[in-house]
Amino acid sequence: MRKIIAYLLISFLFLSLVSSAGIKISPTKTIIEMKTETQNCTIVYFSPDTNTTVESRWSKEKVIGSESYNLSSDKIKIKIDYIRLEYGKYKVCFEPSRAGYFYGVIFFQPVGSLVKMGTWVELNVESLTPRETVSLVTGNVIGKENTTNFGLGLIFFLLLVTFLLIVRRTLGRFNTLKNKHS
Amino acid sequence: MNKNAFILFALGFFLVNFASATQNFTENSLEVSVDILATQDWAEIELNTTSIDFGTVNMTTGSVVDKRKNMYYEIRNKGNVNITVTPSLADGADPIFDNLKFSKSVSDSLSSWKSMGDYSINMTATDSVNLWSTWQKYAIRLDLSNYLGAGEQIPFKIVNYKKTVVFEITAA
Repeated sequence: MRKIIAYLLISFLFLSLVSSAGIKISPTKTIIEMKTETQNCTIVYFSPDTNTTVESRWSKEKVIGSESYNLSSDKIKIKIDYIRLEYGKYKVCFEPSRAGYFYGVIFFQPVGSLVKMGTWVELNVESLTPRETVSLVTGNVIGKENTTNFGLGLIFFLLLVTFLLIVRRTLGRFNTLKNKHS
Repeated sequence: MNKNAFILFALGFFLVNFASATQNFTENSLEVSVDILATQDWAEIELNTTSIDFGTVNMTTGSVVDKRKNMYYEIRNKGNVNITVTPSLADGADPIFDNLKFSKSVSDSLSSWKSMGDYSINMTATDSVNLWSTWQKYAIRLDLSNYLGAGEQIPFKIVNYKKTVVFEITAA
């Protein structure tokens, strides 16, 4: 039985490699600066223009090697649309919902061929919220914010003065009692 | 006789050249062509190997070397950027083909062979419109010498076991 189990013959280990005739892409890198909840697009040229699948993989850090890019666009909250415009011309649109730097690679792969040609993408996404809030709020609101800070300071100051007065009065009484006893 | 043949040959040669010269002067169209360099960075790649058959591996007999099967594949590129070619298995991890190793030549030392995930090929830009690099030959090895080391057993004969390697190409 052991001999039977030990008997191992792997026959015709067969590995399919990629058949490809001139697969090309341009550009090989794109940097986009944008804001959250807005859409920004880039054009990518890819050939051959057969049925093509497009996928993106992402990383939170800029690292070397496509194998390190293993986050999906859903995971990092970036909505991506791929639109084939004309022969070999693709419009890739990004709509991030989070601010930050995002590093990705968009792979184009002709159906039937297993070569994936990738173009690097760097998204520098600024948040609409903090900066845009400042520009959206009115002067009245900004004034209110300053008044609040001033009010808090004033309250703190009055509390401090009251505390010092209480301490001074208590010490005074303590000294009076001390003098009576002595 | 020979003299006559020579005269006939010279006459024929003269007539042919005269005819082609006349044709050149009477051509009413002009073929124009140009090469335009890309304004963007671009890369193109071609592989001339479609499949690799490692043959038969007998795990119960033979030496360690017999359990290492070597083959070659070839890649060429063109474009104005250096590229990185990274092989990976299309369907993810696989108990047998996770033992694939890559190197430049089959005669490389054992330490030169890298596993999938640790291996990539750098190819230099050709920086020309239509000039391919020369075909670059690379070695691929199925190394099953340690396959049964972790108590792994294969109870039945495995025939025609196939997986697909994908090459991911990005700018370097």
